Amino acid sequence: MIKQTLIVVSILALTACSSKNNEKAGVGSIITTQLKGVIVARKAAKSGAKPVAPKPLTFADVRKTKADLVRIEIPKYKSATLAQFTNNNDGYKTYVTGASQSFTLKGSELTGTRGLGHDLMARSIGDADRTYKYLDAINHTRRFDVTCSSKSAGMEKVKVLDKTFNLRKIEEVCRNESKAFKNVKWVSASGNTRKATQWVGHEIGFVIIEWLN
Amino acid sequence: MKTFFCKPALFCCASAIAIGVGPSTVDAQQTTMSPSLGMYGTTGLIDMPSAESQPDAELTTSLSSFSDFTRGTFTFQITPRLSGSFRYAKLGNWAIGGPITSPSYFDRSFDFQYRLVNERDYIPAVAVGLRDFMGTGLYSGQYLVASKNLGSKLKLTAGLGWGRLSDTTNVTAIDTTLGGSPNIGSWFRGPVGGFGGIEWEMPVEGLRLKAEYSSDHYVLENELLTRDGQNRTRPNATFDRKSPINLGLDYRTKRGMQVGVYYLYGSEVGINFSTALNPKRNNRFVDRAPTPIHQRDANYSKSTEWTQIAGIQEKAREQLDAELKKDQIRVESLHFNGVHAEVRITNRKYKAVANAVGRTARAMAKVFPDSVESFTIVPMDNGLAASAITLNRHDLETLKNHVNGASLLAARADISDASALPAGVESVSGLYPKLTWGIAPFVELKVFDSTDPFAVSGGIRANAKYQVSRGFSISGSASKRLLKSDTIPSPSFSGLPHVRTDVGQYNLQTNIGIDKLSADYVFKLAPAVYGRLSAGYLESMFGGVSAEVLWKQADKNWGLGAEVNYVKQREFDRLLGFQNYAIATGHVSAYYETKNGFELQVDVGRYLAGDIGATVSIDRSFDNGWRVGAYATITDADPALFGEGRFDKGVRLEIPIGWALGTPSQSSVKTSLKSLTRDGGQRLSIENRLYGTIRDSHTRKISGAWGRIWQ
Repeated sequence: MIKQTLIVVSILALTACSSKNNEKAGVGSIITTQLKGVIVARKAAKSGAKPVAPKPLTFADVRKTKADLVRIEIPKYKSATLAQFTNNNDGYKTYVTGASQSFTLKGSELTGTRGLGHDLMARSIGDADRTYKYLDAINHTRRFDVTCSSKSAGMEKVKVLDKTFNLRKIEEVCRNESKAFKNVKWVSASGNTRKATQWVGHEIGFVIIEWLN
Repeated sequence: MKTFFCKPALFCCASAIAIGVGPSTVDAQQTTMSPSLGMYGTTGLIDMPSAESQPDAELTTSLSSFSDFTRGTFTFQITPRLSGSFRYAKLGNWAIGGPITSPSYFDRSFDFQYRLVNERDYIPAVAVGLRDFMGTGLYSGQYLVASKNLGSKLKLTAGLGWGRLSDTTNVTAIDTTLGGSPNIGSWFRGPVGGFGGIEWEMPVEGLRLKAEYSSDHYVLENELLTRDGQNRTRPNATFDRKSPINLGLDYRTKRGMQVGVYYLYGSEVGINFSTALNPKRNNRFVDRAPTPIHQRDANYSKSTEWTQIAGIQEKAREQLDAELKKDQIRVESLHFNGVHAEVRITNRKYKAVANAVGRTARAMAKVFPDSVESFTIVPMDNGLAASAITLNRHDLETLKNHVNGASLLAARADISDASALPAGVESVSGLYPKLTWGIAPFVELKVFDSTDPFAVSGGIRANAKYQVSRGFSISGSASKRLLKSDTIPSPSFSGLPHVRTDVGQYNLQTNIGIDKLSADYVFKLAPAVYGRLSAGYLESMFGGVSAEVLWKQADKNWGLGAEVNYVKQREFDRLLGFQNYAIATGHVSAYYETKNGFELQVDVGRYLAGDIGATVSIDRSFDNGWRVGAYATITDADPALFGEGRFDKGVRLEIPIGWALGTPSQSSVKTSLKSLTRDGGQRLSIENRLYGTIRDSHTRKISGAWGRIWQ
């Protein structure tokens, strides 16, 4: 209850009339976006209008953009979005979404996120003993160590956008004394990962990544 | 499958459960019961304490009531083993401190509990506690208590108590003349009695059954002849204590909210409600992703010819400003040669300076040609160049994705005092003069008064700041009160000059008032020496002149300061006039930051009422901006003139708005609680003292939140 009160007080303070209001766009945009969402939903409900389903994205659409794209889905946040390649730092490729979230991939391994909240700050690569790094609530870096092992789980048909691929499924089980989780990726005969489901952290859970090029 | 040899036990749980076909997770189960709160707002059974501690840094607020008693308690887990509590209680059917015809008494009390022994396989947790350890000691009791979990559903507690907890009617009489001083002489003295109880986690998640044997006989509340030194009588006992057995139910949510209902002492029903905040609780904190760090080619050009391009200084500044504007960071000055660049920035968004430094470094890596090998970033705090953080560009490129990148970069970064701008380097033109203003509603609460437990006032407040040049500003605020619940202020009976106890007169007589209106100049005398000059209506009750100097090296965890002021007391209408009372005050101050996040401050000098003494403050400071602290001021003021409380003391709290909202913000909600408002030991209230201005940009604070450099 105290926290809710604080939030109310904070919003009251931050939304007060001020010459600096334009400098607090972060808060303002969050509130405005939420309010807009509510208003749009109410208008739609009142008018009885059916929501217009967007046209499904196809590989042909992606080719037209000539951009390096991945599709990222976060089941816990019920969100799915496209992210575009923007930067390659020694093999670590960063993809950025329209909502200013970023995902850094080393090969097919997700090694960092930004802009999600509870972000994965860094992750080790290559060894069976793996370390994940996060910032906690007081801005201290925390590590989470697991030991991982992979195995092939046969072939599986996987649909990505408008195509279905016959891919090799690889399961990776990681565990420590308090947690166990399983990552899955689907790899083509040429060794390219087409789709992967990877654990990011305790709060975000899993993300699903589909490579669209 | 037997799992006897599988260590640790939790691993067995995770291993034994099959991971599902799809992506899935398995978490180990909790093996002990969480600590709950009792009717005193501290960790405990119902009315009796237990030996566990709340999670480190937990700040709980509780409200409980039974019979004619209501208790509101704030408890802070100061360290993993030590907790402190401040309690405000209303006792009905009570004569102390007022006429018998007005029988409600409002009591303030402080507790400490320290866990001596951690719970282990066959050893219980053991704690020692002081309840209401100073002042009238109405709730005064001391205890030694042990608690042991038996599995994840059952917990036993047993203890020995003194004072009120001695299981006797031989309770130390209240000393009304003692107000404010520790009652050390009565600690762990006299009869001793036993108490204990059981907690059982029921099958419904969060629901807990509690039963206890209470060693508190509630003697003071039930004697017809009150023992307050005045031998007054009450017409009826407060309640009928028929039994020492209490029992009831608690329901606790995962976020720490707790509700309890109990049947107490064979005759009463009690309720308890509490909430918890914890600065360490991991709220989702969302900010736009930073610009990825530009990686130079392996054979990048080291040519510095680009520095000869006409207008390059202006061009670079414009580009850097454009990059940083997205993060509400403004360039104050920029100078560079072919291999090094230094930028001075004003950060209006990030509480953690490391966050602003990281964003600035990314922007510099994007803007500057490849030959620039290092960046120095100088955060400007209220116009003061507070420190200089130098980063090697190669480190940024190579460590950005390294799993230990934050710690490796910290080891290679340099944080030092900021020097003056080199000769010939100008600040960015057009930044000054600058006017900022705001209008906002405000609410003020007055709580824990000795006669009136709660009062609220509110209205609208306008503030403005005219930044004439770097470091020189004129600022003020004015407010109009639209709501006042305490229309008749408590009269001041203080024997000292009424420097604070006339606050009620100010609130009563102010319609539209000037809260503050002052001109301030902050400057640097040397790389580690800061200065401030202020003149005007410095605070709501005093106006005059103030000068301060601070010596604080960026890489040291201590500093020294001094302040002198000459002030006159303002008229009650808070307009332009002054009363006759004038005084010169001043303090020398020492500041020290411990490695585990505590900040100590000692101020020695002359206070507003002319009394001479010292203030000792201790704050637990968290690297997300939370601060929880306490202070005490002891001066040479005559205790008889000072009044109840003997010396000034209180607790204070600062909660960053960014933590509450989950988005970057430099704003905070600040509040302080005093047991009593008195005139002794009162300092001038100045907004922009130097240590608080520059502290966050020095090594200890930057390093504490260093991980945010990659955010």
